[in-house]
Amino acid sequence: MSLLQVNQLKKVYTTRFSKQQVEALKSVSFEVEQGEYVAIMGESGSGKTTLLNLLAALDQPSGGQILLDGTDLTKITQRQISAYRRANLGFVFQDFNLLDTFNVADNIYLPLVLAKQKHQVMAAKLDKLAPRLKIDGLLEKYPYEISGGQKQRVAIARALITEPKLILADEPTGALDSKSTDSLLEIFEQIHQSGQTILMVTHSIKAASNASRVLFIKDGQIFHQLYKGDMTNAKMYQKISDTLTMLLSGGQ
Amino acid sequence: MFFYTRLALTNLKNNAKFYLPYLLSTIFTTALYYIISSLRFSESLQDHSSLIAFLDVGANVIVVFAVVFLLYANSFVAKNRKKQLSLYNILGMEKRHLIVMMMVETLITAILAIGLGLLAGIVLSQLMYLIIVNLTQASLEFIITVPLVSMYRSALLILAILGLSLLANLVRVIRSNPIDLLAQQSQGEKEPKTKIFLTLVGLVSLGAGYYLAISITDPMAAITMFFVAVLLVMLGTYCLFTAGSIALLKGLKANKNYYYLTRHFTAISGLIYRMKQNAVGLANICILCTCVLVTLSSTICLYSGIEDSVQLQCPVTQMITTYYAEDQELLENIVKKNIESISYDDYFSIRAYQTIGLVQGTSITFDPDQFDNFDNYATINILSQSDYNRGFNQDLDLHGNEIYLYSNYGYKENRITFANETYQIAGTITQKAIMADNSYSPKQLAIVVNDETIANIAFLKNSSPKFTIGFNSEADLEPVIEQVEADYTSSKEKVLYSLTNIDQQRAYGYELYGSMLFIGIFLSLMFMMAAVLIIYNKQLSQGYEDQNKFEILQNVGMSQQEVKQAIQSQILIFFFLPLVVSVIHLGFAYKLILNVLDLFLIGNTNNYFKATLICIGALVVIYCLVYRYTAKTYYQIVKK
Ligand SMILES: Nc1ncnc2c1ncn2[C@@H]1O[C@H](COP(=O)(O)OP(=O)(O)O)[C@@H](O)[C@H]1O
Ligand SMILES: [Mg+2]
Repeated sequence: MSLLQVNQLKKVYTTRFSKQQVEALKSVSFEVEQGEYVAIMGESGSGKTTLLNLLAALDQPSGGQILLDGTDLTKITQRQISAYRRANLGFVFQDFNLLDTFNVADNIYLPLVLAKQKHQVMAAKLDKLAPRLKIDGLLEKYPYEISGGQKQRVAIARALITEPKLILADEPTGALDSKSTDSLLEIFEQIHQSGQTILMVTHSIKAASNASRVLFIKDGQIFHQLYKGDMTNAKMYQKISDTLTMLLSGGQ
Repeated sequence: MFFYTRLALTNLKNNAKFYLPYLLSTIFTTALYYIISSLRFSESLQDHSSLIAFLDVGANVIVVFAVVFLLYANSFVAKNRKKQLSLYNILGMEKRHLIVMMMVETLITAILAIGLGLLAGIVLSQLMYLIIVNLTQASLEFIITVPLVSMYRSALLILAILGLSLLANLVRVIRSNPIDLLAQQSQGEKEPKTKIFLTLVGLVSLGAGYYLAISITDPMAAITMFFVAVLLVMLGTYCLFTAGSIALLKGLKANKNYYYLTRHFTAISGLIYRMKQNAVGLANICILCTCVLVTLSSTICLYSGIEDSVQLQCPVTQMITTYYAEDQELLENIVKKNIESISYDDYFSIRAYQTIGLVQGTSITFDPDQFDNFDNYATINILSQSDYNRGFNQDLDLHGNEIYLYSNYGYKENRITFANETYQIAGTITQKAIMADNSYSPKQLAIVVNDETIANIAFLKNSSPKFTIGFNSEADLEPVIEQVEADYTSSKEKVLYSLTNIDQQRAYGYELYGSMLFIGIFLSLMFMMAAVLIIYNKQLSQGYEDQNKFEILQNVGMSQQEVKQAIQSQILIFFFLPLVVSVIHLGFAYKLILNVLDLFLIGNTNNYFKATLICIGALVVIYCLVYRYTAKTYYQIVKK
């Protein structure tokens, strides 16, 4: 069975002031296997963030089903959802979402503290994780003292430290320069290699060409998907950009 | 010019969140100053000299406070506009344009503040006039007064303060570099360092202040030490809010097993930053609340003690005391002749030695060289049996060391020792009038001894007894007393007597303590306004600080409920710390204030306790209301 199964997922936003409804997701279905690295691409406004928010159980779908390891996320009660999210999902955001009032180590500890873990246990986990993400020299620093690329690595560490089943990343390279982007993609590649399942929304073709599969989303629907298979990054890059051109020109 | 006016108006409107409270504070200050000044210059109040004196003091306090407070309020607005101004600058407005724009803004503020402030002031001052007349029980008609000099002074005061603010803002703009300004806002803040020295200074001075407050029993020392204690406690408050709070929080943070608990984790780190940025503001709120509590509780206590104290001091409606024993017959004849025309009763006349003594157990010491604890002192009248019998139509017959005793506080022993002699108490006297006008202390004793004994009491030989006539009457005594005076002066060159009239005493008490209470309420209003504005400003700044926090914490796996609880508890600690500390301050100041009050008025321990409880209760209620109302701003910002 797949790790993640999304069946006919629908999301309709109703704005409070106008009666107008926005159908952000029409009917989205796809599956993600254990250990897969999936990229999601699409124009802005196509519903990528909405999709990720639903997968993260940060928002309720208007219809459809999300099964993570056989558990239906839409059926989990509000009271349990945070604990579930904390235990099973990790997030990486475009704007890092680090708290200025915590130093790097405490930012990473945050989900563990919320899960009521002992300090010694947390420290041991961080000791193992920090060198892999090349942040072992930054632990005592504060977010405003480090660069964007470093911040994003800290955010990844925070997502990984709970050993989640699935990492969800929303444009993680969106705020980074090309050099930081490269090193961050390397890190994603590396954690993928270690068996981590990743779902990453991205605008960057380069980022997407690292993934084992790319989903294209348009107007709230999955429009196309590409498997990397044995392709080189360069070949994959070419294919993605062709698909995007087609997508933008509106063709089928 | 039109362009600038429109721009300025738009700016003020767009910054309403910051600007409106500032404008309101300015209007409020104008109104307060106008009100107190218009009362000060109100023609009908000019005869009440102690009221005028208090109004003068009040007006001066308001001036000083207004300058400090409005400059603070201005700097808060200015800080939060930095970004806007630098944006204008980057978009092509030159500094001189900005300067003109800011001048126009200040002008608009001045017009609004003076216009609305005076309007509110003129309306409210009529009400205040009624209140002050009521509190001081002055028999005055209601007349509408609008003294021009007060309008002029209020306008001048506000113009001066706004001018100063403008100057400060201009200096800020001229000195600023727009790029810096834009960059500054996004910069994170360093975690504060632990300042051990300041923390120690805070602990020591707060401890010393508290110690002074609870250890001083001499009311004379209390009055001077009061200010020393106040200064020490203030210093301690500032140090402990700024350095102490952070030292404490960082100490907690260093304890890893404590810090990394879900309950403490976000709270401690969050509070460290909140305290770093806001400690002085919180200390200010705390001091202001303490001021309100002290001012209100003591003035309410004094005011509510007026009647008790008048009753204590005046056993009858009218007393006339002469210091010359040889005048007594003359005086008594004159008085008797003049009061024949009115109805009166309880007439008495007594000759007594009036003194003060330190009462310890059953012994009295008469020549204390140091006043220690007022509670142990009594005013004492000593009189001979024959004087007592004559004055009160009695027929006591005392032998040897027998005495009769009057005490207003229930003296229970059967003997009493003074001047190296022990006397047996043969009976008690109940006439309050026996104290004559020697009755200003909460403890009173009168001792009647037989005529030989009194002649042998050594220390009385150097002093002379006073002669007092007293009676109760409902009639208008003014013409009677005037006639007594006329008759007396016609036969004597010097007038050597004093008059104690219960109505005059009461009027005097109401004027003095009524004025004090009025000023107390007035200043408390001002302190409260300042505290409210600071609280509001803190809610604004905390709101902006916390805007992202909610979202991030939810994203990392806190439920909305948990986030709300975590941040709410921080905000509650943050805002209620000043209130709690101010109540603790008052608790320690309690005895000291009571000691100082002892100098003014008598018999008020119970009153003061009640007044304090009422004030604390009222402050807590008002504080909670203000908190709840201002918290709306906070949640509006955070929810965005
Ligand atoms: N909270 C919301 N309320 C109403 N409409 C929303 C909300 N969030 C997103 N939308 C709308 O849903 C659509 C998809 O948005 P989003 O998922 O953010 O797109 P993407 O991340 O692909 O740029 C857009 O049209 C957007 O305006
Ligand atoms: Mg998006």
